[in-house]
Amino acid sequence: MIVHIDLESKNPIYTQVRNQIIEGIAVGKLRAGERLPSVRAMASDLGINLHTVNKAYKQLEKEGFLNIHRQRGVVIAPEGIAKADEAYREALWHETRPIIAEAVCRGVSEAEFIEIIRTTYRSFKKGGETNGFGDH
Amino acid sequence: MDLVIISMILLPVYVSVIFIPYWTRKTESFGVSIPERVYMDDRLKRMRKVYAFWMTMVSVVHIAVSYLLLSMVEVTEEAWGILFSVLLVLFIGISFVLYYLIHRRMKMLKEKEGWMKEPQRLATDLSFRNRKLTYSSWWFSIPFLISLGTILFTIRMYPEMPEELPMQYGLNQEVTDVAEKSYRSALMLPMVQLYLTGVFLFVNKVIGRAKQQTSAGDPEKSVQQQVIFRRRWSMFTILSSILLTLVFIMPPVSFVYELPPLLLMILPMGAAVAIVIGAIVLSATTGQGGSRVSTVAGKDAAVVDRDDDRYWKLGQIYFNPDDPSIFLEKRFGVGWTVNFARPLAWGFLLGIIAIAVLLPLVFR
Repeated sequence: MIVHIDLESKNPIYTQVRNQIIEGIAVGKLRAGERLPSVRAMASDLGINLHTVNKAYKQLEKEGFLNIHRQRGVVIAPEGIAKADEAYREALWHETRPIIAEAVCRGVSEAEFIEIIRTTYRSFKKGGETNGFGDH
Repeated sequence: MDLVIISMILLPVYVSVIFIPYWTRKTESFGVSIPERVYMDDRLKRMRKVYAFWMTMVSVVHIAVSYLLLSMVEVTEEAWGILFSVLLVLFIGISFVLYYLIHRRMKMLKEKEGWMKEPQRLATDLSFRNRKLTYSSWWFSIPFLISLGTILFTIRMYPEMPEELPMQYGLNQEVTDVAEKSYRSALMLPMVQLYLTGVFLFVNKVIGRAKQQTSAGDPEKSVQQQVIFRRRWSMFTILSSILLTLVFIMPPVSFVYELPPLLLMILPMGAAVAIVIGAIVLSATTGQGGSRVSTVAGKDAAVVDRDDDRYWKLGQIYFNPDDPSIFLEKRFGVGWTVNFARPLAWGFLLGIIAIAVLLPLVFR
């Protein structure tokens, strides 16, 4: 899977890496147990600081998307991603709130908003384009 | 000194200097990063032509001067070697000056045209290192076993060897340097074999581990090109190591058995020519980073790679403390270079040179 980094984006690089890896898992381009490059290899390939990649990996590990082994390297969680629990559901409600609020302020209708979600959900199921910039 | 032999050494040098601008990645022109679409701009095409034309002229003058000097002046084999090296360094120096003049013009042109103002993106293939980038290091057990065989042969046949061992041959097949017979001097050449095997093995590792430089404009194509590029050079490294170590079997054998001097001359020359021509053909057909490998037609890209001109001193020397890479593709040329901001890069370079310098001192 190709990860794209936008150097002029307001999102920091580690967030862009994290988001695209999660999206890769969502669309099935990254499978359980698949190896990812080591922190050093990925930082070298992108020409960025080791800490930036480390931060993305550490966060993904904490969220249960990756396992970081000393010998086996970095792999997508082999036993799959933990199903949504109460805490996750609560966070989901919480985190979508400001996004919906902004959409309301800008006059996006409920139907349009739901349409956006539906389209994105379906594109993930079809293994659609994941260039991470929303231009699909 | 024969014109044929001089040409055999110099022609590959000329060819590999003259054609560099045509072998680089298409995201680079004379050490300046550009959007791929302007590579075929008429002004850039002309720069490449001007460079190739003048380098051809310089080459013609250089070979004429070399030949005349070396055939007119009576010099010893040693002085000849020094003179030849000086002339070669001069040639490289002139080629760099010509490169640098065009490099500066290229920089100004880029500034004027406002190129690389498009959104800059980075792209990396997460599965790049799960792919087969090089052939197995186990292939180097072949040159290793050849070297080991030569060492065993040398030790076994040591009593049969003459009291003075030829260490160097002149271009006219005569012995130009001898060493007193000892286990150390007898083992010198087999040690060079081992050293070369080690260097080639190291190069193969570097080819596998060097920075992935996937172009953001069309990452899929770029990944394919890089994989082909690396595999071909890996194969070349393996074949060269086998060929070279094979050639090194001959001198120790010739210490014990009578071998025709012509054979001692032709085989190493033949191997050297084969390797150099192989490198040129590979460069011309593959290009830097696989840029000349025609895969599917590239997409018209709206984004460009990161403009990293400021990390390339004089357009050719990479110095970027923020990049953890040690090995990466050369900018102007075919092959790999190091990130001079990394101490480990210096360590590798100095280590390889140090062993090469120490080897003749120890085994003498």
